[in-house]
Amino acid sequence: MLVRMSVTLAPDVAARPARAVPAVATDAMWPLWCALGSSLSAAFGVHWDIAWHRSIGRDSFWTPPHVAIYAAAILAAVAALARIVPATLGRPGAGASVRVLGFRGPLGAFISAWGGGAMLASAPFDDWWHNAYGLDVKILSPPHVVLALGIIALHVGALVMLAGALNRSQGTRRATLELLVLVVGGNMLVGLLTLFMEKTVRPFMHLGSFYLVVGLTATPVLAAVQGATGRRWAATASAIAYSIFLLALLWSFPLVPAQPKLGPVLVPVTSLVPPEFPLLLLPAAVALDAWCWRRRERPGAATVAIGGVLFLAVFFACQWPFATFLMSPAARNYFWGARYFDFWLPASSAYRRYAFLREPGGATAIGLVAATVGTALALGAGRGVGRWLARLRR
Amino acid sequence: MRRAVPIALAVAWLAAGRAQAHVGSPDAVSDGQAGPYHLLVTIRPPDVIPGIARIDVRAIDGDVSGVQVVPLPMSGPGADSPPVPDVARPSPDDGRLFVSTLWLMRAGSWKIRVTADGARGTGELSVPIPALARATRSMPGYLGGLLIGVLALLVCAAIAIVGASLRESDLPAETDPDRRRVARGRRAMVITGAVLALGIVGGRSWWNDEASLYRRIIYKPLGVAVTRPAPDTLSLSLVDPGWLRWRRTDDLLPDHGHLMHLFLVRTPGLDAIAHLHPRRGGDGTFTQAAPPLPAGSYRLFGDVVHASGLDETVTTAVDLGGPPAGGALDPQRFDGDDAIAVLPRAGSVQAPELPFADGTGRLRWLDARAPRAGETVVLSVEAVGPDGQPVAGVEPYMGMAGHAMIVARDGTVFAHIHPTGSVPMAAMALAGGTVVDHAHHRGMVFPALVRFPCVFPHAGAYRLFVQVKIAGRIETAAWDVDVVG
Repeated sequence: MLVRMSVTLAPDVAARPARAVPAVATDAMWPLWCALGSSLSAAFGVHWDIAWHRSIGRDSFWTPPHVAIYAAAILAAVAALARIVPATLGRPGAGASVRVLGFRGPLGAFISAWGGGAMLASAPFDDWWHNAYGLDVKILSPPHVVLALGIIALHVGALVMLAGALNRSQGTRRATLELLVLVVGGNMLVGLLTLFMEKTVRPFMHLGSFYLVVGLTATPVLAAVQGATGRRWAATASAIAYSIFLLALLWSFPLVPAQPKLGPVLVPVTSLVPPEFPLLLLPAAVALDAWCWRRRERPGAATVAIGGVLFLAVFFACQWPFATFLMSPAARNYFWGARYFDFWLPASSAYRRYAFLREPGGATAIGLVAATVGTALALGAGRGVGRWLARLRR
Repeated sequence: MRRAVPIALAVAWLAAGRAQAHVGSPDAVSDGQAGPYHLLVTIRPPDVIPGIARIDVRAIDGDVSGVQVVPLPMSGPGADSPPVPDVARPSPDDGRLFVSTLWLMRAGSWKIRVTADGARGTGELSVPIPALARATRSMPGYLGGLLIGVLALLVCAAIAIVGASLRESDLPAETDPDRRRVARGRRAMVITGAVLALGIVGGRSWWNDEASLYRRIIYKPLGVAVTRPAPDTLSLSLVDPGWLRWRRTDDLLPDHGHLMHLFLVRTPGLDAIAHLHPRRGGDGTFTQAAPPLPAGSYRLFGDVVHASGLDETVTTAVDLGGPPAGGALDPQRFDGDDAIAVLPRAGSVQAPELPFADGTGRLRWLDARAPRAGETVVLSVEAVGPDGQPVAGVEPYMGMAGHAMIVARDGTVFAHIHPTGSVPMAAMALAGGTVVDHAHHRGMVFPALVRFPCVFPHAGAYRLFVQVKIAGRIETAAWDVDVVG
């Protein structure tokens, strides 16, 4: 069972206690479900698109994964407009709002709208990019970064919309919104780690940089949902959401027939290539939750620093040997998913050879130290965001 | 003013230093058999790689019910494991034409495997196609304007959102932010604006880097350096300007029995031509006896085929004028397949007949209408005797019923084509799985009507040179062709 965690408010608000804002019972819930739907649709669409590129290859504007991604933008726009239009028009019961470029609405609605706008703007940019420089052969390209920023904003917008609504809610409605926040947190983990997938797949898992990337991306999200919900096991719940999401893809994609429609075909592929087994964030999230709960009355730098070290140490202790296992023949099956390759992957690649990328021992040690420091700093930043989400009212 | 035209043409010829397989004419046309079916295949490759090629397959005899196409690397990994083939769509306007598009993912030498189905079963024809990134496209103005507008909107919105979040997002409803909060919001907006400006600058730099990386794979044709070690000798050295590492100068395959087909065309008049076959010296070097052509400036085109099947045409400008013009080629110094011709007069659609040098017959161009740019056309030339009747047949000239050269007046296009199309036979043989030397088809005689399938890449004035072999002599004729847009 989740247990509420106390939240330390920032001094300026603590000095002037907010007026009791009643639960906004008149606010419709459906825009918030739309926001959650947009977050889920984006996370799913991106992974479907990656699987499409790995197993079928041929791309066009109207592939089903692209439709899922753009559906996320449309859902976000619907959720945002459902809040912004009545607030801007001054309709009663429109809820608390901020002012942005002459419009009024909840802050999260504007962030979602921004994300949807960036995603839609990336479409003609990406289309031109393909025409100018050819089809994507990598995830990180300028138009993809615009798309990724839009998707991240879409997740953040959903989180902020939900957090703002959560802070104005009580009872069952609040419990429901807390659950939605935790699921969105899981989606954010999926989305951010996907963005850096080229640095976090199996061959990278014994490099210091891998732990730095994971520490920098995962801990802010986990700390933010801890703060937003105030729940004892919030990070754990989001890590579970992340794991369930990826496991569902890992075990369902191979059931969908697919064949390469581009050459050269270097690997015979007969079904959608799924993502890898999820990273073992769950034990690290459990440790982080336990530590933060224990230190909830002493939210100082020591708590953050030790929390960062603890998170990384637990993650390292689990993921390093697990990566070794994933490289072994025992993992090359449906359950662990280490048997799938992109159809275009050369036999000489480290990924197909089940080989770890190597770096000098000193470099790994330096990378791990940097990862530890980075994780602690990211955790501190995430806790700051969490505190802000906890006091969000609009 | 009159003088300006030849000068402009000369400048254009000098500027036409960039070569590729068939200079300025990337489309490949192949006339061949897919089992029992006679097909004319046109492949229009993309100019960015990865990119989409357009494939047109015409069933000459109208006996094909379905066509499938699939791309395969000519060699190396993936050459034997095709992706799912595409089903070509029958053209609604032309029941014999099947069209499709295919992605070419990697720069290099590819082939398109065409599978035809009909009442007589299934047949296959593989057509080589070089996949070369040849262009960087600029962004259309309207799109640039749209994206800048959206970027400005997104930047303004991001700044306003950050300002609002720090100014009032954690205030209870109906509470106005105090001055301190307003100031904090403004500071945040300034900082956000600065961060976004840095992001935009960084993004621009990244974009430039990506464009620079792409430019490195843009096709850089082999160059050629021509020297005159002796007054009557040309020495050619292939020069690799640096491109993809697998391109070499020492891996050439014989095509029609020769490692290089060398053409010299006098500019700007296009009134003299040599078709020669230099001897290879060391790696990437050739020597050639200077042909007895009229003095003047010539454009040199050298066709070579790499072991990968990639064909390239090297080009440069040379001045001839050393040896005396006229006379037969000395068999001691020239290959038996070499030919030169001085053509003071060219034919046209209106005047399609041109006599042989000795007046024993003539070549007649049979096409009555001007070709259209981008369209697959089959040019028809017939050899007729003094009585005006078609000759009994033409002899194989390097294994072919004829050779034709298409040269654009402005120097932007050169293509060496055959009745089998524009694809070198060496590359065709590789695509089919065996290397066949088509140099000698002794005893064969081809019909007097010789057809050349080809595509004129753009509208304008061209000169078509045709060479056929009759009675042991190579006859050359030229026609002016106006290609309409």
